[in-house]
Order: sequence, then structure tokens, then C-alpha cells
Amino acid sequence: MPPTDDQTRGRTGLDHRFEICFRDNYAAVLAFTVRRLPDRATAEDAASETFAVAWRRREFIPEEPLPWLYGIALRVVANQRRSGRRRRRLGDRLEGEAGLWAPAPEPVDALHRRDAFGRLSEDEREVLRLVAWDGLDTREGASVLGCSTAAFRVRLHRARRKLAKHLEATGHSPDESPKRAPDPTEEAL
Amino acid sequence: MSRKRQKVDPLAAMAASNPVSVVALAAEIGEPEMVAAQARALELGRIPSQPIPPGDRFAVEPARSRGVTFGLTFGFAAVFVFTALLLGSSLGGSGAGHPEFAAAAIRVAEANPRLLLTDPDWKIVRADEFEPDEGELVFSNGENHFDMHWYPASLYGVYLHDRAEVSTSERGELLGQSATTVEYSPEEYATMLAPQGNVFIELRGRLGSRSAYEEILHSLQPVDVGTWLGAMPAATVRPQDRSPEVDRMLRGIPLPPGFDPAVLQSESSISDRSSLAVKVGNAVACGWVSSWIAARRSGDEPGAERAIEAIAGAPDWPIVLETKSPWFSNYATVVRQLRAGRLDRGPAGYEVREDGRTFGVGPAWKLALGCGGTWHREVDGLPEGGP
Repeated sequence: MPPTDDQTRGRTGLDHRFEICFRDNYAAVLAFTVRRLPDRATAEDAASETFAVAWRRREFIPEEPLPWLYGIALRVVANQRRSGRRRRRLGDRLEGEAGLWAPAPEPVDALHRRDAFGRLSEDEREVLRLVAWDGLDTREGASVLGCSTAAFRVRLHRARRKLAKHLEATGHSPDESPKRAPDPTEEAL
Repeated sequence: MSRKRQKVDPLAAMAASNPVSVVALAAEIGEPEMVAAQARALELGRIPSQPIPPGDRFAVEPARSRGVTFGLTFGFAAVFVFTALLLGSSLGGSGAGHPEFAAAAIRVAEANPRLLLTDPDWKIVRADEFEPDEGELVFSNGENHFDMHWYPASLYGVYLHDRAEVSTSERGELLGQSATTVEYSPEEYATMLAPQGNVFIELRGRLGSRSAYEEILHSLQPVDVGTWLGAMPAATVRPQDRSPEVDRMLRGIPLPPGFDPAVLQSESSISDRSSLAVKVGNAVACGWVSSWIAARRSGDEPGAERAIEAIAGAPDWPIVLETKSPWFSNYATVVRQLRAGRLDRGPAGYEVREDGRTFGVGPAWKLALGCGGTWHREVDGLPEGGP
């Protein structure tokens, strides 16, 4: 049965909404997946899959879609990593290793940081990524992880403290330390 | 020489090692890449990554493969020789000869595969969301259930690939069609028939054993339009009744700002009346919670209060009084949270898969109201003290 005029108008409006969402946020979502996956092609696949899910659920695209899109992308990335692990059944690389810091050009002390970062749990790493790399504040990060802002703040605080401890243990040099980054928890704490 | 250690700001350390800048990436993506990426997303978006189980149509991440393998021998032999699946196109009927059914219902019937279980103990207990190329029937003998789904033929390859991850596939024949069976557990099996016309069929049953499953599977028979429509349970809302039924269900319910009932009113669907009522109620409640969120963000306290009061009045909504579905009791939980100003966005529960992976399912408020946008998120394990 052909759609009614009202249905057609509704559908067209949703498609338009999706297109705006895509154009406004594709680069950010791609950056999000590039930061977490080992190569650009895999990251582009993950970004496409993220927007595929968004298209299927375009009637639920929120006014501020980026945290919502990141929430979807996080799941897609997890699936990609699992697929990657299956493909590397006999591989000798650690889980998610390539996605932790690569493919960025690494600063002088990146090896120290990689080692320190790798000693955190994946949940702790993700909290730090959302804030330090994706630039989310605690409210947005909480919505991506589906927890309360307070819970996110606690997780961030713990992850940050642990990473600092590991970095110090690796003998991080004062000269190599970059300037202090904005701290999204400061206002609230 | 000993190295002096300093207190390191880990966020700054990480920010300095950000693998990619959004600004740089955006500058790098040209219009052709953008158009291609959007086309790719739309192409993928039209293919479900996983068939969505009944009752979980909004799940963002339905259950993935079970990772179960088994070495069954090829023992699934054809029992029936079937002439055709009697799809709409092969019937060529126009509904003439079935004056008791409206044209819209006949069109749906003709467009769908019309198979029924011939065992008289098995009845259709649920007939929901029929579209020309998608639908589900649930049969029951009062003790067990047997599900029949059909999907667009274009998705057959995708589903076949997905099911191959469930277990080793066995190929055989059923109703004259090529059939592929997988084992979810020794008690539960599913069979996919190769596409015929515009759709393909998937059958699934948890009947306790392989032999019990096959017995029911092989009692499927094609029937004509009249028999098929006549087998629908009394609680079915037929296509021609859907739009007025949705309008009727919405009567007496305060609607959230911008609420559009058009999607609910799709006339090409056959629905179970009770599930349609829940769907209508959920759409309204979800709209009010979204309205509450927006009002809170903009500091519109009266707007937030209106949203709370609207959902709080759900026990008096006509559809709630009429259906008495226990589902609606979930609304009270959400109302309490809204009144406390703390909407539960965490997992509503945990799911431990057969391979040991644990997933949190949430956010809680969306699951409680049946809203879209829910997630399954892998976690390290069950929280202390259990789920």
C-alpha cells in the first residue's frame, strides 16, 4: 500500500534530519573511530555502520546528536575489535593494542604513556579517551556510556589517578610534560 | 643520575597524543568522499545487521552470535514435497471470493507467505506487524511456542551469513524449498527457507529436542487467503482498522509536544491489539520523557512538571484501563525518577552470553518505557552482588 501524504511528509522530514545529522557530524564520528581502530579503512567502515544505525533510528536523532552517535560508534567499534580478534585468531597482538594510540605520530614519551595506558582496564581507557580525545564533558561522556554524570565523574577521577600513578612509575620527565589540559570535572568537583 | 619525578596530568598527556584532529579530518574529506560515505551508510542502514527478535525491535544491539559450534551430520532431510509457498505473486488472487475480509487485509494476506501448522493443538496466539515483506506469527499449543518470521528476500544472504555464526549450518529441503537449519541449543533450532518471491521465511522453535522441532516444522502447510486470515486470533487489528484504532487508543491521553501518530497508524500492518496498545502508550510516554529532558535542559520547570504529570496520569488512560497490561506499571517507576529529578540512564539489567561475555542493557528508563535507542554494552563482568 502506498504511503499516505502525511507518512510521506514525515518520512521526508526524517530523511532530511538524517542528512543534516550526517553532514554535521561525519568528521567527528570518523575521528572517533580512527582514534580507536587500527587503520583508516576499518575506521571508515565503523563510521559508516554508525550512521547506518543512526539512519535506521533517524526518528530518534536527538537535538544534540553527537553523544548519541558516539554511543552507537562505541558499540560498533567494540564489534569491529571482536571481529578483528576473530580474524587474528592465531595473532600475537594483544587485544585492542593497535587501537590504543596508533596511528598517531607519537610524542617523545608516548611509549611511556602507551605502557601506562595499557595497564588500565578498557573501561578506564574509554573514559579517558572520551574526555581527552573526543572533548566531551562529564554530562556528554555519561550519556555516551549510559551512566549518571556522577558515576562518570567518579570513573574519570579513578582512571585519571591510576594513569597518573602509572605514568609516574614510568619516570615521566617534567620536560616532556605538555601543558595542562582542560579538566571537565573541575567545575563540578 | 636519578630522574626527578613529577605529578603528571594524565588528561594533558593523553590530549597531546590525540591521534587525529576533527578539524584536520573535516578539511581532508572532500564532497565526493562525503557523498560516498553517506551513500554507504544508507546502503548499510537498509540491511539489518541482525534480525531483531520479537519484542526487541528497538534494540540497538540484538544478541550476537552464540559462538556455539557442533558437528551435526547432515541429517535434515526433506519430508514434504511442496508445490509452492503460495506467495502473493504466485496466487494472483484479488481477494474476490472472500467478502468477509476487507481489501486491505486481503492485500496483506496475499503479500505474505501463508503457512499454518496443521496440528490442531497449535493455534496462532500472536500475529503482529505484518508488512508486505515482513511479519511474524507465533503459534502455541498452550505449552510451547513456535515462531515464524518472514523478511525481504534481499536480506536472505545477510541473514544466512549471520546464522552461520550460530552453529554449523545444515542444508536440506522443506516444503520444496532449500532449507538451512542451525542449532541454538539442543532444545532450540531455527530453519531458514530460501527466498520465494519477495520474501524468505525463518522458523524457530524451542521445543525440547530436535525430533520435536522437526515434527512441528513438518506440519506446516500452505493455506488459502480465507483460511489464513480466519486463523488470526480475535485480538488482531487488521490493516483497515489500524488507523482508527490508533486514534481511538489515543483518545483521553495527553499528547506530548510535537507528537505525530502517523508512524503508529501505518495501514499496511496487522497487529495484536494488546501490543498495539502498549506501543501507543509507549510512544506517548517516551515523548513525554523527551519533553521532560528538553524542558530541564532549557530551565523550563513548568514544562518539566507538565511532562511528569502527563505520565503520572497513565493509570487513568483508557488504553491502560482497557488492556490492564502489566507493562504499564513500568511507567510509575519512571515517574518516581522524574519527580526525584534523577532519570536512570544506567543498565536495566545484565545479560551473560554463552561465551561468557557480559552485556549491560539500557538505558533503564528507555527499556522501562519501550523507547527506541536502547543499547547492549559489553562490560567486564556482573557488578558485585549480582545483577
